[in-house]
This record gives sequence, structure tokens and C-alpha cells, in this order.
Amino acid sequence: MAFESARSLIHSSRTMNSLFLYVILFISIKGFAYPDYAVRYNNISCTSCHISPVGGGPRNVDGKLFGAHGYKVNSLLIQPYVSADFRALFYNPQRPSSSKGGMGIMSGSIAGHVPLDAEKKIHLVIEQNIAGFSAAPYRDTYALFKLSDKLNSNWFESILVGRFRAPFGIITDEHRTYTHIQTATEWYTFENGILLSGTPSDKWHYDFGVVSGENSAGQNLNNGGAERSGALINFRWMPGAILFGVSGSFHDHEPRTDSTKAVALYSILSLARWTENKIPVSFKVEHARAWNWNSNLGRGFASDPNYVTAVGHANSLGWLAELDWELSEIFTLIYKYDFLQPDQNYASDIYDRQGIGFRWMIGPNTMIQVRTETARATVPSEANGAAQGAQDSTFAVLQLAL
Amino acid sequence: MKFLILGILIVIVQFGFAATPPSTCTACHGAQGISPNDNWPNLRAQKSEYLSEQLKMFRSGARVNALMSPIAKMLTDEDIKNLSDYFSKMKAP
Repeated sequence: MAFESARSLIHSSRTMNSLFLYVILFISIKGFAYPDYAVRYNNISCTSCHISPVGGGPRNVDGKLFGAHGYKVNSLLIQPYVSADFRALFYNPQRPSSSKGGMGIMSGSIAGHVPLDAEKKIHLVIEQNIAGFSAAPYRDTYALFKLSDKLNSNWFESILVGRFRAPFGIITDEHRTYTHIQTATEWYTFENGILLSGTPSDKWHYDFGVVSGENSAGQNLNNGGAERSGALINFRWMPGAILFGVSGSFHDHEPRTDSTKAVALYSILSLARWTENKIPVSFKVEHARAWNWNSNLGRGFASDPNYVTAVGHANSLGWLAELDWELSEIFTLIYKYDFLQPDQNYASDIYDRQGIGFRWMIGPNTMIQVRTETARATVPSEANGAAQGAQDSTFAVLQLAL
Repeated sequence: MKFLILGILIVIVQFGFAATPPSTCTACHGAQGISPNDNWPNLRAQKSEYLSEQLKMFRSGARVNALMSPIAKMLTDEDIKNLSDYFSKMKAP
């Protein structure tokens, strides 16, 4: 990378004057995205900001400071022992119902995390849901054993034992991209088991997990599609301003023909890094295929239970694409596209949606995310259903993270 | 169609009114080289040789930080000189 001028790296914050105009223009939008930071800042390891090697969840001090996005932050809030995440949602669907639409607490969780030994080799993390649709026991709850202190040069970096989010596909904090619904790896879905992670160089990283099969949705510890043992693998390679990844999951079922499998290929391109910040854009794309996972569509996605039963054991196909345009340190425009074909034998039966929105950091670790989207479901019994995937909507999320 | 119109408006707004895009350094060290928190250093008016030496140490691995080390590995010698000169020539706050 050759900077023609150091000045091009420096940014002035005259944006506030124009933010009001943005809000007027894009009042009905929303978005999320953080793995692009890994590519932009050449940092393939999620533990630079998060405690878990999978990413997401409780953050370390550097993660909290980075999340302040240039705002001066109360030093009492920047400590290594407690993290929290609260989200309030305003949701305005095309066909609101008594249970869908309006304003409320979307989610809330609080986490405690401490190193147990003086060398900080063993970390204990307990994250509790306390509000919202995932108001039930535990999110990230595990013991993390650090096998090495070296930075990005460890074949065996850590072993995690406990309850963790699946290292599958592009990890964002959007709770339900179609590819993650399709593969039962949503934002609120966790696995229980053992996870080995490594970052042999600053160009590649892997996760390998053996799980109990108690894949669950945050409401309890044994509710979910998988019933027996399973395995997860995730591998990502970042040769430069682009990252490539591949993920796979398998959960054994009885009978064996019901065993669930999923694979994902994904990539993240940082034009900001590639063009030395001249084009502050990142692009993410993910392609997922899953076998026998469609019962997950019944967890609040599809509105027709007969359709969910009919495609329950089908092979599905999905796409996620997202473009993020950072207009300033605190304001990002987002375009996002989801596609889901629940049964590859019936290619005309699909869900898709696209939306445009923004993420506006209004304070340290505090943001407003807004999006308006158009959605389509071509299955006749779903087309006019109450499911979010079948109707246009506008929603806004106010998020506070500590 | 409405997305196309919105896209055009965005471009107009971006180039007509908005600030320059965010940068790699300023995300942590502040828009004017003044860090917004006590954990990360100010770069504004720092000595050029000191900045060069630290960046080269991060790049080589002689000094290690989870955030800075990967960033420094993206820099060429010319980048390091330009950055060090730039921040050192800024007026002290």
C-alpha cells in the first residue's frame, strides 16, 4: 500500500452539518456490519475486539474503545469485566398484527467476564438474556483457555468450552439474515460444546467445534433442531483487501436420514483498504446451502405451518449480499439483499428482500440503525402472510452496547 | 427505480456536502490526531522519528499490539515516512 499523501489518511469531521439531510432522505432504513473491519484493518482475529474467537458478544477494552467511534467515552464504562447490549425496536410492517408491529424492547443482555488466573490464560464468560424476545437463560457462556499469547501466529490459539455462537458464515449482529435462518445459525442461536480456534498467520484463521446437538434459540438450553452430536468448521483466508471463507456444519439425528448439514461460502471486500480510503465501501456476499434444516423456518419466519412441514427435509439455497458505504466515521449507508429458496426442487418458490438503510453512531457505543425494505414470498400460501419475509417493512433499532 | 434515485441523491450529497471519508488512523487516534480516550496516544505534533520507529517496530513484531500490529503490516517505508512527517508537522494542541 502506498499512500500518495498522508493527508489523504486524515479525516475531518464536518459531517454533522449534513447528517440532518441524510436523516430526512433515509428516514426509513437500517443496517449492521462489523466483520468488514477485519478486512479493512488487516486484522483476521476477532479476539482483537471480542473475547470469543468466533466474534460477536462481549468485547474487551480495545473493542469497547474502538466501538466508541471517536466519541470521548466515560472511563468507568471502559473496563474488562462487564459488557452489555440493549436494543429497542420500532417495526412497521406492511400488514401489522397484534403481535407484529409497534415499538418495544428487542433484546437485552448483560455479561460478566473475568480472567481467573494472573497470566490471564483462563477466562470465564457468562452472558445472561434479561429482556426482549430472547429473554431466557444464557447467551455466550463459556470458559476460554488461551493456549498462546502470540499475536496471529498460533496454530492452537484457544479452546472454548461451553455455550457459544456458531462460527458459520458471515458473523454480523443482524439477528436473522436469510442464510442464517436457513442454516439455524441466527444471532440468538447457540451451540454447546468445545471449540478449538487458531490463527496460524495474519492471513488465515480457523475454528473447529464439536457440539452436543443442543443447538438452541436462546429461549432455553435444549430447544432446537439438532438432537445429537454435531461438528462445525469455519476457515477464512485474507490475502489482502479481500477475505474468503468457508463454513460447514453437521448435526446427527435419528433417523440418520434426518441429519442436518449446511455449508457456506463467503467473501468480504474492502474497497476502502484497496483504494487507500478513496472509496470507503465494503462489500459482503455469502452463499449457503442446507439439508434438512427447514424446520427452522417454523421459528417465526414462515407463516404457513403446512408449507414448513412440506419443505422440512428439502435442500435449501440462500444468498446474502450487503454493501456498506462509510460516509464518515459515524455514518454508514447500507444496501442489503437476502434470498432464500427453501426447496431446490421448486425453484420458483422463493423469499427475497432488499433494503436500504443507515447506521448512525450518535454517541460512544450507541447507534441508531434504520432500514426500509421490500420483501417478496412467491409461495401462494405465504405471499400475503404475516411473516416478516412476506411483506415490506420499515424498522429502526436503537442500540446501546457497553 | 426508487433505489436508483436514492443512490443518485446519495452521490450528490456525498460529493457536495459531506466530509472526506474516514481513515485508518483517525478511527482510533482522532480526526485531528487527538485521541478521544486516555488509552490511546495523541499523534498530533509527535516527533517524526519517534513515530517512524514505533510504526516500524509494530510492523516487525518488536512491539506488539492487537490492533496496531496488523495495521502497521500494511505500511511501506514510504507510508511510514509520510505519516510520521504529517503528524509531526501538525501544530501542538
